Amino acid sequence: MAIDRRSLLLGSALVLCARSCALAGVASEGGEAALVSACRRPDGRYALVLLSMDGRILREIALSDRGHDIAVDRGRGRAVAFSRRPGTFAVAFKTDGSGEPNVFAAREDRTFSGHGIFSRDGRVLYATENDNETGDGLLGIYDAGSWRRIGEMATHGIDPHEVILLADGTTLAVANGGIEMSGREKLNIAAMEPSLVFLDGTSGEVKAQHRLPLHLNQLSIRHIAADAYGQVWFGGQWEGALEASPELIGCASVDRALRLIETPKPMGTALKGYIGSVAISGDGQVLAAAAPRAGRTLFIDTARGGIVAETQLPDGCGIAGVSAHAFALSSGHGDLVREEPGRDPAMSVKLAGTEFDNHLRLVAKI
Amino acid sequence: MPASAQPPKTHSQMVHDTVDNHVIPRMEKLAAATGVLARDLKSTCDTGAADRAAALEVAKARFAETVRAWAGVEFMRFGPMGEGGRVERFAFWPDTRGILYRQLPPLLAKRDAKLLEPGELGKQSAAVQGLHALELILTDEKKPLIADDEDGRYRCAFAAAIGANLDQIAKDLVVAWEAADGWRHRMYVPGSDNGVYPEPADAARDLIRALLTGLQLVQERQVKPRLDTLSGVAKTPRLPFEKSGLGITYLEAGIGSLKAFFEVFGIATYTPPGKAWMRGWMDRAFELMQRDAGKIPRKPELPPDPEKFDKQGPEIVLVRQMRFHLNGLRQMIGRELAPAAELSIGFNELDGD
Repeated sequence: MAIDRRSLLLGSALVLCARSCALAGVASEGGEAALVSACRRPDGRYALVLLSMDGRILREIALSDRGHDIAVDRGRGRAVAFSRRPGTFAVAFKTDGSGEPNVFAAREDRTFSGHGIFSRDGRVLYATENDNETGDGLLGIYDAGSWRRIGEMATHGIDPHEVILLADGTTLAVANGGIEMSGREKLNIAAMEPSLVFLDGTSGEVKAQHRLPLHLNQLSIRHIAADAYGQVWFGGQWEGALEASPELIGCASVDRALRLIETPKPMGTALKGYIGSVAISGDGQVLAAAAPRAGRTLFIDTARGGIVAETQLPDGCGIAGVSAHAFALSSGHGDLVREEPGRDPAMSVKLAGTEFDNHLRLVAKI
Repeated sequence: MPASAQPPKTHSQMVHDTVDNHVIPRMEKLAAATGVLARDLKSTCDTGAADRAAALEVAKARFAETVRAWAGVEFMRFGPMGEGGRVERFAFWPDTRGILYRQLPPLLAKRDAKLLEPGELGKQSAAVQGLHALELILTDEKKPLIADDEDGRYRCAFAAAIGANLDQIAKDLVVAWEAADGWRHRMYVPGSDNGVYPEPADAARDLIRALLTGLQLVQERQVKPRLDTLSGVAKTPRLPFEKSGLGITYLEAGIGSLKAFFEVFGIATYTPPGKAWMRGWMDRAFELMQRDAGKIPRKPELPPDPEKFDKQGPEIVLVRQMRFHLNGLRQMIGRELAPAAELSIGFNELDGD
C-alpha cells in the first residue's frame, strides 16, 4: 500500500486539531498574547506557544514535528508557523486563539525552508522554499485565506532561508544561504554561493542581488532584518574552518553592496561561526544578533555599524524587538528575558522544561 | 568502584581521556582503513582480468572495514570534521533528493579522465566522492567495475579515485587533530587566547554534544524509519549501506563507538545522588542496543494491513525498545547529567538552523 506525504499530513492535521481543541482550556486563562515561538515541551513534543509579555503560556498548538519561524500579520491578528527545513507543513492560526488552526502542505516537489512573510495588504503569504528536483530557491506564494498555493517566484539562488518585506511595502529581501542541500545534508560547501537578493514582490523582478567576495563564499547568509535606514542586516553562518571565521554580521541595501561590520577584535570565531537569528528594535536603530553556540547576543547601532552592547544567555536564539528600544530574548533552556541593550533585564523568567526554538516573534501591536 | 561512586571527572579529565583514548585512536583507525582501501582498489584495477574478481572481493572487505571505522567517528562533527564539508564528502547521507543517482551515472558515462587525477574528485559534488558513491559502483552488477572493457576500466579507476579521496580526507583529519597546533592541542589548552575554547568546559561541551548527536543520528536515520515502516505509516525507507548489505554492520559499529565514548567521557560520574539507578539503566541500555542491533530488520516491510497488525511482533518490539533506550539515554545525558556537570547543551546550539 502506498502512503503518500499528504495522507500523513492529514494525520498531522488531525493530531494538531485534536490537541489545539484539548488545549483550549489553556487559552481560557485569558490575557492578550504578546509573543509566539516554536518550542519543544517538557514531554518532548513540539508545539507553538503564545506567550504574555511576562512569560506566561496563554495558548499552545501542538505540532507533529519541529517548527521554526512564524510569519505574523499583526494588523489582522493571525500568523503562520513553518515547519523546520526541509519542511512539509505550515500552520495558520489566529493569535487571539479563536478558530481552529489550518494546516497546509508544501507542494509535493517543494519543501519549506522555515520562514515566510505576509504581503502588506495581507492578501498573500510568501514562503521560502526549495525545488526538490533542481535545488533552486523559490518563494511559494499562498492565498492568505484559503492557504492555497497560487504561484511562485525564483529567489535567484539556492537554499533561501529568511524573507522579509521592506518598508516600501513591495520589495522583498531574501537571504539565499547558498548551500546546496539534500534534506539537511550539505552537498557542496566549497562551491557555496550565498547572496542577498531584493525582489519586486509582485513581478518577481530582481531589483538588486549582492554577493560576498569569493574568499567569503562560505559565509551562508541566512537571517535578515531591515533597519530604519532601509538597510538590510544579516547574520551569517560560517561553513569554513572555525578559526578562519570572518565577521558574521553585515548589511546591504538595494543600491549598496554587502559589507561586514568592523570590530576592534575579531568576533567570528568567538561567536562559534554561527548567528541563529537577528531582529531590529522598534525604532529601527538597533540590531540584535543572537549567537546561541556562544551564548551571546550582540546589539549593533545600525547608523554606525558598531557593537554597542552585549548580553549573555546560554543557547539564546529567539529575539524580537518589543518596543522602541527593548528586545525579548528566548533560549533553548526555557529562558524568556526582556531587556534594553546595555541595561539589566527588566524581566526574566524560566519555563522549566520548555526549549524555545530559534525564533521569537512579536504578535502584539507596539 | 561503580562509576556513580567515583568522584566526578573534571572537564579537563573528560577532554583528555576522550580525545586520547577515543577520538584520536578512532580517527587513526579510519585513516588506516582508508589507506588499505585505496591501495586495494587501485590494485584491483591494476590486476589482470583473470584475477580481478578475487581482487574485488578483497576491496569489498576493505570497504566494509572503512564503513565500520566511519561509523566509529561520524558523530564527532566538531573541529576538523566540521570543516570543509568533510562529513558530507566522506559519506553523503541521507540523500533525500537522490542526488547520487542523478549525478553519478552521467559522470561515469562521460569518462572524464581529469576526474581521475589526484585531488580532482574532492572538488566535485559531495554526493559523488564518498562512501555511498563507492558502494554504488562496487555493487553494480549490471556494469561491474571488473569488466574488461573501457567502461569497466573507467569505473574501476573512478572507484580507486574515490578510495584515494577518502584516504586523503581521513589523513587530513588525523593531521588536523594531531599537529602540534592541531585540534587536540586546542582542546587541551583552553584560555583567553584560545578563540574556540576559552574554558575547559567549552571543549567538554563539544564532546557531550557529539555524544548526543550520535544518539540522535541513530534515532533519526536507523530507528525511526524502521519503526515508521513497521507501523504502517511510511514506505519502506532507504537505509544507509543496505545496497552492500552492511547496514547492520554500520549500525552495530556506531552503537559500539557511542557506548565506548560514553564510558571514557565519564559523564556518568555526575549521576545525581539519589538517582544511582540511572547509571545502571544507562549501562544496560547501551548493552541491550548493542546486543539487539544485529537482530532488527535489515529492510523493514510495511504490514499487509496497516490498520491491523501485530504491535507486539518481535521485529517491531525490538525496534521500539531501541527507540526507548535511545530516548532515555538522550534525556538522561542531556537533561540530567549535562546540567549536573555544568555542560548543558541547548536545543538550538545542538542542531541549529
